[in-house]
Amino acid sequence: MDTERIQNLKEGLADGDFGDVMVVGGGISGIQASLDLATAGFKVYLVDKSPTIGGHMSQLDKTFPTNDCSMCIESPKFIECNRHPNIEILTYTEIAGVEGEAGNFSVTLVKKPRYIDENKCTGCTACVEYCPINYPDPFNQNISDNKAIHIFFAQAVPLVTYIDDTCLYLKEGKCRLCERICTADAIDFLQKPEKTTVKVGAVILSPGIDAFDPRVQAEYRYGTFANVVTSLDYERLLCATGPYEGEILRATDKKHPHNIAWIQCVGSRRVTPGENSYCSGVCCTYTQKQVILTKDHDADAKCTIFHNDIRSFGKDFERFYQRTAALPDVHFIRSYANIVREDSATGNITVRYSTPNDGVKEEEFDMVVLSVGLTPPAGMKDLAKMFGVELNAHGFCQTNPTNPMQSSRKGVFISGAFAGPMDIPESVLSASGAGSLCGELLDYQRGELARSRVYPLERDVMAEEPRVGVYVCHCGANIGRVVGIPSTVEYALSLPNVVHAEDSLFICSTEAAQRLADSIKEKGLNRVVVAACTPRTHEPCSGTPCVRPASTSIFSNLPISGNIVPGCIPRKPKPPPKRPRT
Amino acid sequence: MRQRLPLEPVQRLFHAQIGPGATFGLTEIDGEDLWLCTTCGRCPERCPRDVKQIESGVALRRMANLYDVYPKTAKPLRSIRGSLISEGNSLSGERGKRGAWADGMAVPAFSADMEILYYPGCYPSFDPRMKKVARATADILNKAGVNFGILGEKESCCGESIRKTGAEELFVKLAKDNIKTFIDQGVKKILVSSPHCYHTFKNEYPDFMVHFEIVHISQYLFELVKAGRLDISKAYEKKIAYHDPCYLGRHNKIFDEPREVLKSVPGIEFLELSESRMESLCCGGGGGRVWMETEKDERFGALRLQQALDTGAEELVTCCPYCITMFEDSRITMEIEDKIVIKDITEIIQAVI
Ligand SMILES: Cc1cc2nc3c(=O)[nH]c(=O)nc-3n(C[C@H](O)[C@H](O)[C@H](O)COP(=O)(O)OP(=O)(O)OC[C@H]3O[C@@H](n4cnc5c(N)ncnc54)[C@H](O)[C@@H]3O)c2cc1C
Ligand code: SF4
Ligand code: SF4
Ligand code: SF4
Ligand code: SF4
Ligand code: SF4
Repeated sequence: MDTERIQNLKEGLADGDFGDVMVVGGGISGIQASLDLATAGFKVYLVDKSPTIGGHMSQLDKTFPTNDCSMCIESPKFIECNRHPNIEILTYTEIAGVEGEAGNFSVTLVKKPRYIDENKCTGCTACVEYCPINYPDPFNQNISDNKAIHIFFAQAVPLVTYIDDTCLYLKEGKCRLCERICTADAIDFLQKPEKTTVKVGAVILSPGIDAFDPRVQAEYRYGTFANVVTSLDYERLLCATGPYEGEILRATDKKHPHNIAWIQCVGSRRVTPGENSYCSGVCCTYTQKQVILTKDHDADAKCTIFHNDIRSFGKDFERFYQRTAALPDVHFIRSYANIVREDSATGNITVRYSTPNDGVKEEEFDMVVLSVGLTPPAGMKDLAKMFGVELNAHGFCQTNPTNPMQSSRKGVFISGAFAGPMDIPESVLSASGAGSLCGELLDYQRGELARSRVYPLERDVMAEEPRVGVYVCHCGANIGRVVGIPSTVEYALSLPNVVHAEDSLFICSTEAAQRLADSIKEKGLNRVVVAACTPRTHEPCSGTPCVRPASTSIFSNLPISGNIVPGCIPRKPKPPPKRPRT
Repeated sequence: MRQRLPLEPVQRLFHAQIGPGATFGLTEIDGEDLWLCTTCGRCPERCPRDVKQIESGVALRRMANLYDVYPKTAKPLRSIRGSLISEGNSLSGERGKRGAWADGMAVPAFSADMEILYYPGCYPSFDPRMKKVARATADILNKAGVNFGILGEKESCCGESIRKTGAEELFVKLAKDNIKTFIDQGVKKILVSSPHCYHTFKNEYPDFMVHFEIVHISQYLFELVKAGRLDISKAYEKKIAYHDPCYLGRHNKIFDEPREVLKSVPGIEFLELSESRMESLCCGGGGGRVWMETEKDERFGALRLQQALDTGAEELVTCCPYCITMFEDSRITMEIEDKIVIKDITEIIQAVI
């Protein structure tokens, strides 16, 4: 599919001579912009300061208003980016300087040393096992630990380790255990920050947001009362790949909280110093999402939400709110709320709030979640200065009011939440918008640097005896919780013509996709069944490896898909996908 | 239909529902509620919605003034206004005796060639307890060799507090009187004892298009200490706690100078109250409350003294005439005169130079 489109575009623009775009920030928005542009025939550099692409969406458990598994939607796009011949991903990389003008920017990048040769590391994680240094895992909001050497998260792209500066060798010159463990010879402590310069015709800035840090106001008690968490912490607590494998536990006693309060508008709609006067747009609805998910985890949980008024911004959001409010033992209370006390024995938190008729009340909760707002990400003033774009009074990008993807600088476009608080659908929408604007600007040079993806020749397997391989995905715990994976694998093996069956924690990870491709070759499969999330999101990641090694013509689409993730069921049931004739 | 503010600790006594209530026409203008606010500034500091509680409360008091309706506690304001109109001070003192606190001291009348005008304000001019503070101040200035003078009977009340009770016209009259005198006398720089005078001179008088240089005594002492103009020769072996006056601290962000001055005195063990700086608890005397009676168990002064006792302080030090008045009052009603002493910062410095 990509091949054809790129081919067509190339033919149509045979006399194109040049085409390069840099996308700064590899969250969902930057990823979407890169994919759109690359598929349209532009060579894209996707730069992210973090060790992987993914941004905030990768930290979310599910996403409103459909409550689809966040990673299930996003990680296939990681892989698509990774495989795309026209996208070069530069992670752990920051912008150091920008020169030139629209059509001819020269951007200086500094790649931070990850002390790993990205080309050699296989992502086997043997080193992680042996590394003696535990440090708080940033992906899990520092709730649980990880090692000084580790992969950012299971579906990271690139799927290689990086070494944090808590490493014993970097700090004290001792250890180097990982070096001895690694059979791929991937560890390289001699790495230094690397400066490179890339020439591009246009830039898309998509550095997204930071979650508001409630530590700026002591009264939120974040960091002082252990059972006060932020909503982003709570996303990790909810998630199967989170600090407690999807168990919602309290920091103090590792017990399940049953009585949970959310305080909304933390850091938003407040003029007090350090906070923001704007509405962050997403927190009302993600709070409702978290309430629904909490009730999924524990049907008897009592959920209380303190709000200022519910702002249901988007399509279907009001219905989402009504749905949440109708759940048993869910209480929406309109009041500012103040965290007053922590019970030193139980760790419970007392919240004070006002009521219209009964005056000020106090109530005790097992856990309090601060629904933090969205702020411009750190370091944006410098970034904006380098790219010569203006920021607005809140520190978000100043965009053209009649074209929200346009910055104050020609050739620099904006996508995602850097233009101001927005949710994922809107971030994706603006990504495609910004991509089109780049296309318009660089139309005359489209196709020059683009490469098309070359697949091996497909082989007609129609006449062959079916050799079926079955791959069943746990999807962390999303599917594993509902479906008995080992018995499914076993059952599959008992079926006629099934020559291979295996399970996978995340079939959508780069590593698993590679394994899938390898085993197709190794076992000589000519039919493949992948039982995982909806085929719509996974077609690019599992479909492509199938085409690559199997070289079959009929199975160029994901033959069977599970739809076995409850959250991933498309809302309108679709006719079942074509089954392979066995 | 009362919705109270869920904030510590003031809400237990007073309530910030007046202003928001007024927005919806719920506040009775002849009720007591209108008069409860001391304009301490804690509400506007914490309000996430930028509701101007003090301004809206004062606006309501202006209406009460217009209709001349006062509940019981606000009744004394009538005679205070009378005294301000006829004598230029709020203590029913004779205008002619405004400079009498300095009798027997070398305190000259201000003249245009002087470095600074010392403007003590009403309480240090007339109140027996506060006169000591005015004298201590003059004493320090003399010892430091400051070239200063006073206006005596030409000085009028600054008008800050009466304005907060809604008497806008009276404030304008007092301000104009003072401004005229300052200009006639060639005043450029004014030293004040009271944070309330400081606040109105610095932030409100400029509305009349005048800009004098204003210094509060705590700032001035800090400058004198820094410049080495004060010879601190003795130690002050006491545990002291410092109370931030609302109009010095929260309203004008002067927190460090008084602390630095006190810490420069050898022997002092400096203690912080449980609520200090931006969180300081009001003495109860602002917004005209100094002239009104407050129920015994609703007095901020008493709460504040208890906080001071809790730190183990022997002396509670501050630098505002209202604060000292309120604390001295509570010290008697609480019967703790043997446990704690109230001091102005100048009284401490006077004792060590
Ligand atoms: C607790 C919480 C729950 C949420 N739940 C939902 C939900 O259920 N549904 C929904 O639609 N939305 C939700 N959101 C909002 C959602 O996270 C955002 O809409 C989305 O992440 C925006 O995507 P983005 O790509 O614009 O930015 P981001 O996801 O912030 O990605 C930005 C990327 O840019 C990189 N970057 C930043 N600065 C630089 C730099 N200087 N140089 C290079 N790279 C840089 C970062 O490393 C990051 O990878 C939630 C938000 C929070 C905080
Ligand atoms: S660095 Fe070596 S041991 Fe570690 S994950 Fe990479 S290949 Fe494996
Ligand atoms: S050298 Fe550093 S990263 Fe490697 S094992 Fe030791 S502590 Fe871990
Ligand atoms: S979206 Fe809701 S919780 Fe978030 S700032 Fe706006 S009103 Fe507050
Ligand atoms: S006295 Fe202070 S806390 Fe009380 S209402 Fe007035 S400003 Fe608010
Ligand atoms: S929003 Fe402001 S005025 Fe309203 S109750 Fe809260 S603090 Fe008071």
